[in-house]
Amino acid sequence: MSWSEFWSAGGYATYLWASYGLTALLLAIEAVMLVRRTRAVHRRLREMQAMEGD
Amino acid sequence: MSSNRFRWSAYAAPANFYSLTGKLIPWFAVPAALLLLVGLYLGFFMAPTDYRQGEAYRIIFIHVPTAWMAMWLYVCMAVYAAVGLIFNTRLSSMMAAALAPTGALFTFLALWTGSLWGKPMWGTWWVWDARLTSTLVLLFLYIGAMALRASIDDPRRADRATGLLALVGVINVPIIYFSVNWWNTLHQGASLTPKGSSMATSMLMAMLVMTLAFWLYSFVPVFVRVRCIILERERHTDWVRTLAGEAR
Amino acid sequence: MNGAGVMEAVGCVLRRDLMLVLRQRSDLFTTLFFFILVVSLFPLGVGPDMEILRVLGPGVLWVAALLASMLSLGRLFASDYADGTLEQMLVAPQPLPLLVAGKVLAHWLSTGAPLVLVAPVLAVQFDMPGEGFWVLVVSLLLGTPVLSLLGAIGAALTLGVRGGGVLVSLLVLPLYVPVLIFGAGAVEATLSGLGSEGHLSLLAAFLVLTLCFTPWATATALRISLD
Repeated sequence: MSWSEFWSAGGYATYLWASYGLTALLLAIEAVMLVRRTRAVHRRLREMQAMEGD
Repeated sequence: MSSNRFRWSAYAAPANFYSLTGKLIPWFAVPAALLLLVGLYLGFFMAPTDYRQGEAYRIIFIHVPTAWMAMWLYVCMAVYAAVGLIFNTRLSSMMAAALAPTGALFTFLALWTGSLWGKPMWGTWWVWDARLTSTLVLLFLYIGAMALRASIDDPRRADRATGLLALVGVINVPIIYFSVNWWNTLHQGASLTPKGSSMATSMLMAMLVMTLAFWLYSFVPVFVRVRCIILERERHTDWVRTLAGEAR
Repeated sequence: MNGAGVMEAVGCVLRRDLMLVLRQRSDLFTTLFFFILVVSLFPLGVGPDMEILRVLGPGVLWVAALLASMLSLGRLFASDYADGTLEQMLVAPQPLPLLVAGKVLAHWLSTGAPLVLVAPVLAVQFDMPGEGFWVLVVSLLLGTPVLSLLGAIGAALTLGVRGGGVLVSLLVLPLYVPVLIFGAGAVEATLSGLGSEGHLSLLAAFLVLTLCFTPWATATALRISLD
């Protein structure tokens, strides 16, 4: 089938791609939030080290 | 004094678990990504168009894995909660805390994709059958656990309170499923059996591959989160200080 | 000094709580008036069509009872927690689950039992036919103690925690769902001629099960919150 047929998914495009799209989006957001949390933790640990190091 | 035999119990120590999970993450992330690609290929290019549902049925390649993971992660959370309560191990409670947000996310996705599948298929965004209602309750249980943990300042009290809540919830979900089933059969109808037609092998394969992909993937955010939790809660210990000192 | 016998201790807890409620009757009336208010607002919101109200009646009455019960949970342990009585109960020689059961019974007598009495009167607003009244009363009689027992777990887990009532509601709502389904369902089944024995038996079973297990869970939750 052609690409345009693929994307239109027999008329169900909205439902189908909304599902996959939302899943990808939310999983990506979770990943980003976790990266930020990791960085925040490491930053806080470094600050603690710096304060105690003196 | 150490024997040459490998002791799993060593990983009950946060420090060892931290390094273990750090090494394991790539071993789950890469296969998950590969299986995801395989699953998507199977689902979109190998599985045929369903003669009744058209292309929309392909939502199940996300809907079913997220639904199973939602339930599986809750069971894992409850087991870790039970272990944490009985043996008073900190790490078990940390794992339970790490599982909740990912579990909640999968539950939400299961409900959402289910709605998007239900609308074109059965003409309605929502129906009060046993499965959907239980999944909705599961979402509330996850959110309740997260809210409770967030509102208790003392980490140990938070661990135990959330643990008890998780265990009470585990009992509750089957009861709800049973109740709604009864309720629906009395009202004659409204319960859905989406498996109207038997599945083509390729559809089944795609679904299984996707489920496996999601399962492998779920280790990644949970491990990353538990590593954060370990560092946050153990920040006053020597090993964390050493770690922080070595980093950059 | 020999600790008082278990039943005497439970009776003591029960009497004390009931006396406290009678002295400060506002608690009792708050729950009752909330119930009356919620039930009476529905016809105003939904419209006076008696056909619709007849269908909605059992559900509305049950949901209102559930909400009233949920709102009253904060008061179950709060005052004893504040003045140290709760800690005394934790170290008392009598089994904590039984003392908890006594408190929950007192709570139900002051919050749930009045609802059971008032509900039939309110059911008139929904044009409930005669056979519905009896089932309504029985279902509430069986169900509201279950709500109190289950709610006690939530109240115990959230002692002294910020977020208060909303948090308790979030925790306790999933537990309430089966009770609501069978309680309202019993009345609806009677009204549609299907017979409510199944529903009522299940409610009775819930009551027995929660009586056996929830005091222990609540006691555990109290220990978690107070240690």
